[in-house]
Amino acid sequence: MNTADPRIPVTVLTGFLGAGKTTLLNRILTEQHGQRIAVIENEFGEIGIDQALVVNAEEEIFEMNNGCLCCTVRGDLIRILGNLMKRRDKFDRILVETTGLADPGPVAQTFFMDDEVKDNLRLDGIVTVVDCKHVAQHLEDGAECREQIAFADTLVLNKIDLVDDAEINALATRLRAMNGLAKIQRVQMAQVDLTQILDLGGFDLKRALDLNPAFLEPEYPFEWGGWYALPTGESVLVLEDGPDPEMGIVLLPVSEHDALATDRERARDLFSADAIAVSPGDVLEPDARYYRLRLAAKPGLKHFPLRPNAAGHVVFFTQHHPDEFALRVLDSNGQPLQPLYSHTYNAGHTHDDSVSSVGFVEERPVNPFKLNLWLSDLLRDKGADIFRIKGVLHLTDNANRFVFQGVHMLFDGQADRPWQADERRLSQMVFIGRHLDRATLSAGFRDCLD
Amino acid sequence: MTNMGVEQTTAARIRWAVELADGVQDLAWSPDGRWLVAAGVSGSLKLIASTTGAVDREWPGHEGGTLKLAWSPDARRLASSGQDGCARVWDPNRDEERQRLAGGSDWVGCVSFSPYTGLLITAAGKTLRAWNGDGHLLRAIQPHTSTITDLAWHPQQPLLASSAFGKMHLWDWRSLESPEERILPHPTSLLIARWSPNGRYLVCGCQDNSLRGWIWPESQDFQMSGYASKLAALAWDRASHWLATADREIVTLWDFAQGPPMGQTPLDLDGPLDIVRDLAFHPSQPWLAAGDRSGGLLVWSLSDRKHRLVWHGALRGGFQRLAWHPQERLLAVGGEDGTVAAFEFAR
Repeated sequence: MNTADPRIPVTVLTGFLGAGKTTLLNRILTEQHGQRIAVIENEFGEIGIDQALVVNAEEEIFEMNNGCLCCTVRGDLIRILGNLMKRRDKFDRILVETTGLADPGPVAQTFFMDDEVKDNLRLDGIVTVVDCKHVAQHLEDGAECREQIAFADTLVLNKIDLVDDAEINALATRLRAMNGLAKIQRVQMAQVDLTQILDLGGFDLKRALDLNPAFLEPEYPFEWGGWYALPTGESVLVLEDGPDPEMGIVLLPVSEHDALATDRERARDLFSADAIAVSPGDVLEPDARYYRLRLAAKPGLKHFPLRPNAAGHVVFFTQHHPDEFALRVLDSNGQPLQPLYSHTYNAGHTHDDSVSSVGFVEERPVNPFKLNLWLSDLLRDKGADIFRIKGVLHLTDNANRFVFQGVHMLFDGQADRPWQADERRLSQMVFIGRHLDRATLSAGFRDCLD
Repeated sequence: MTNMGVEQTTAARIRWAVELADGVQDLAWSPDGRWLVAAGVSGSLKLIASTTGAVDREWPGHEGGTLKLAWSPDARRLASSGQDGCARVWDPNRDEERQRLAGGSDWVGCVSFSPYTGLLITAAGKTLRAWNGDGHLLRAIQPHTSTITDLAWHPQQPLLASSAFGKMHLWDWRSLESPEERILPHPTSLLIARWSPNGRYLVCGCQDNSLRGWIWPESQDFQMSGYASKLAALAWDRASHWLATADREIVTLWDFAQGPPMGQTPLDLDGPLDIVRDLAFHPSQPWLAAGDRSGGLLVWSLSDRKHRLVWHGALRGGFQRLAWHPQERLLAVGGEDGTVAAFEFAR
């Protein structure tokens, strides 16, 4: 769709200090891709090669004074982009590098708020470089890293040579839960396939959904998954009384190289099968079975012996969070086993990351007036917590796809290509943000359908 | 003469046209009307004779790009500022630069000569610098917490306005050592500052699509809103009667004859125009010129409220700058394709 858009594409490069932004930038500038790139470098940037059009920017953020505190823009970018537009024949694309601690919000909002920028330039994509080794710490340390991940169209997981596969898989799963739309690239030394970061084209939601079909249905029948290495001999699963008289559990044998992220799909299938009802004292066999633990059958501590055929890795998917039942696994000496890795599912509230993605697909057409009202109200109240919205919509009585995106309280849409004859007319919408309530958003979106 | 990016018309005659290597960034007539200086976006400057269009001198300008031009009131010096962190002073009679005023690596976004004292003021990032006629730095001040966007000298007093995000600063330069400072706060980014020629009003185009102003010296503020975008240009007529503003395709005229026209309906100048890039009032005639992004030029007469000229495709590319000759009925235009031309209007 963007072949017809005469505006110059802009790629925004974010990522924590040391993640590899400058390395990536230098790769982009030296690689033969046939594009002339103007670079707006952050004030601490160090581009290692001679380049005709490199402009240094001091990140200067100011409020728009439109009654919205989160409506901030980058004043320096408005000036520099304005000047670059006068030499638009000198380059094909602009790349904006931000400082490590930058919130991508003001950069993105600049492309919505300033008419001159909006007329001449389009935000093609936000690329966030992630240091696989240190990102977990950065995620703990502050909001900036979480926002950089939430805003990304592409997440470049850099320095994968410094961590093992299980860590990378766990990291990818965690980032995926925060930002379900981003493409994820795993690289060393910032050796990115440039086609994956240039010409993202903003709106190709379908591609993002193809990459991650589960993204639209992130609700699982289990709240928790824990990966254990069970020793030979008998272990035991111990629970106490909890909020429910029963609890579903799936025990899935895995190899060391499997990822929890893929096993959850198998576990989901098992949860929909008939359960084997068991009472305390009954033996559980970890060979991909779905058990219903009848906890109320015995007061106090409940023991379920685990009898694996051999020592091995087993993932426990539990219907409720283990804390609610003080669930633990003890070895034959009564010593508690710690999960090698665990994950909390449901509502996207994984780990302590309050950032998540919520997406919907609806078959019925969307009423544009209702949608506008709903979004205006929603963004007025919750805009500060909503980092990005993207949507491809089937509007009532409209032969064209309608694509839109938003940043915080700002949103902007346009008619896209006509729906094809053999194409299913679906309305898809994705929110990425903080403290998103799936049920409320879903109900609000459904109210906009005709 | 060659007719490069310029089309002919019957209403105005093209006196001359000159081609720059790239788009026009700024234009400045010398106060005596002898020369027009044109700056290209990527830096170089041309000194053009107003009578013939001959390029009498070419200066390299600024590496990375020239941003602004300013003539000294006596027409003996031209100052340019640029992305190389410098302001440079040029002499129309010399090829070499006369002074280089260096002060850091920030873009020098504004440069302005005091109409009275020979003082040259530059603004780079958040820093305001005052230079004397010998090119010596007298003072460097950092009054603003964000980048200074514009400078405007009061027409009758040694009073300089500097605009930025959040506030307008006024500097009384009667004392060069310690200019007296006054702050006019406003909670948005102030982008373009213009004094009315009578020195009574200071107006400012803002990032939040409003026009904000102050009555001087009372400092009473006023505001006009309802614009569809931030203002691309502001221009006062000689009599300080009319303020013209441009936002997108619309040129609006505010009547200041009875004071700030708050709450009054302005006149919308009838186009047709594409998105307007620049406006210029003739210094003595009641003529307002507007140039748009697709090369359309419109000259409007305030006395009879009729078009003197509606000229679509006056330039093949879009307009960047308009500047009336200080005495003659001659309009210099600068285009994004590098065309610089002088249009001569009949009586």
